[in-house]
Amino acid sequence: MKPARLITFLFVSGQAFSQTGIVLNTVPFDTNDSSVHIHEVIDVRADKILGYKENKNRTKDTLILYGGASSAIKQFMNTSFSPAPWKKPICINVKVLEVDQAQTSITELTSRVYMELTFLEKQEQGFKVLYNIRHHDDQAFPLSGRAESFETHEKRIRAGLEYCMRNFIHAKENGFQPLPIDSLGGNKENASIPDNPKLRRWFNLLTIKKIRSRYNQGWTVSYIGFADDNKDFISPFVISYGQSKVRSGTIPDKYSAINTYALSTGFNGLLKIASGVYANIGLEIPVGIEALEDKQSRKTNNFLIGINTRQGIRIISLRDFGVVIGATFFQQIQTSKINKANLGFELELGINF
Amino acid sequence: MLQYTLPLASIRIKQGLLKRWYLDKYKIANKAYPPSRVEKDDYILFKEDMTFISRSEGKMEEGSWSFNTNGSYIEMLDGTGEKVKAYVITITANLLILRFDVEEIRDMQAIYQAH
Repeated sequence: MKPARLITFLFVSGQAFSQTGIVLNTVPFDTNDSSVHIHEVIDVRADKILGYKENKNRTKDTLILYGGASSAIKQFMNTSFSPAPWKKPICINVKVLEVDQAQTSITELTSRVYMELTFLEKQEQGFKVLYNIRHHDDQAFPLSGRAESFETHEKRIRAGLEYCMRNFIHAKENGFQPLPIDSLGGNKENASIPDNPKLRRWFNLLTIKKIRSRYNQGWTVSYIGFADDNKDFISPFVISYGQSKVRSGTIPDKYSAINTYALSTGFNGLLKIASGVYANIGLEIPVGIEALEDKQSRKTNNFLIGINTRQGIRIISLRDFGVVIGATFFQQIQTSKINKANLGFELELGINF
Repeated sequence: MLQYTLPLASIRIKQGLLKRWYLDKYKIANKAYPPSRVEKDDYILFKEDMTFISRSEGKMEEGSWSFNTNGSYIEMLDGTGEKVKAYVITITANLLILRFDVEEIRDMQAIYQAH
């Protein structure tokens, strides 16, 4: 595959304009349909760029299809649907055509092409809308595959165009049934595809929390990794290390030392409420042992189980490298001998990298 | 501007797929592993009418398939509506190497032999 990629992909860089043109290759595909040809491709996008390419010095180049999307897509389609007098002329409106690339998990990055095309039939007076399709084509790469991920944008654009064309042919063969064109020009079969399916970008946070409650005080250092989501609850991956101690003056006279060893299970999620602003909502069940030592050095253990709820807010810089600040209130009830109910707050400061 | 048109070989991949492919082994980082006992005799049969029959971990499945020439991938849609994408890494008369676009097994190549 590699030699083919080297031959077929050509990126034309114009440094003066910070723009990279992607040459769309023309690889024919077979649909067993010879009744149509692509008469015209009209790029109706307000912004004609495909996306951005991030450089090593953190500057960004804009990406475009070399020669313009209309011309490039028409040439691509003509290799499979060559013009002939007996073929029905079809026009394609390019409503959306974007590429994106982002780290989407702790180990992977994802490249995506997203497109929305409308197929129209040329009639004596104007055009008749036949079919509308939204589609995204994704490919996952290891984190080390950033260059390959970028180089293969061109291939995914072709794959996406082929997918849309195949679906158009399939719909045509079925008489475009069912094809209720909604007010946005979308088909019901595309209803599950969001209007603008942005990649769920991965965030790496390194934070330190200062914790203070009615009975305890301490700190926690955490790594938090999560894939961003605009709608659903986000379950972050978290590794933490921390220490806390009983605040002086809160140990009952009877005891000389109190240590708690507990593991927690539950849900601790984020909900995006605005760009860069997340609600932090958690429900945990700590289970463990409370080790008590009285002033006569007699040690007793107490089984500990409880419930811990937390509500907070975390503000994360949306830049690639930035600051994280957060504040959380928590409440806890547990089978403790000395503090059956506890409440406190955490202040968080960290970086997003 | 340079313009290349690849040979029609890519279109012929679809024709080449039309046979029964038996799972031979897996390959992870250039190391080969045999299929597990339950995967013994697993196969995929791609038919010309764009339907497939497969035996996966001993369980029979059927559905429809398509080949995306430009993306070099096969999409298989089974009876339950579940869609699986598999990239064609290599295809010859008797050898088919696929990489399934499934997060847990993305590093693995599935190697099939035509009998």
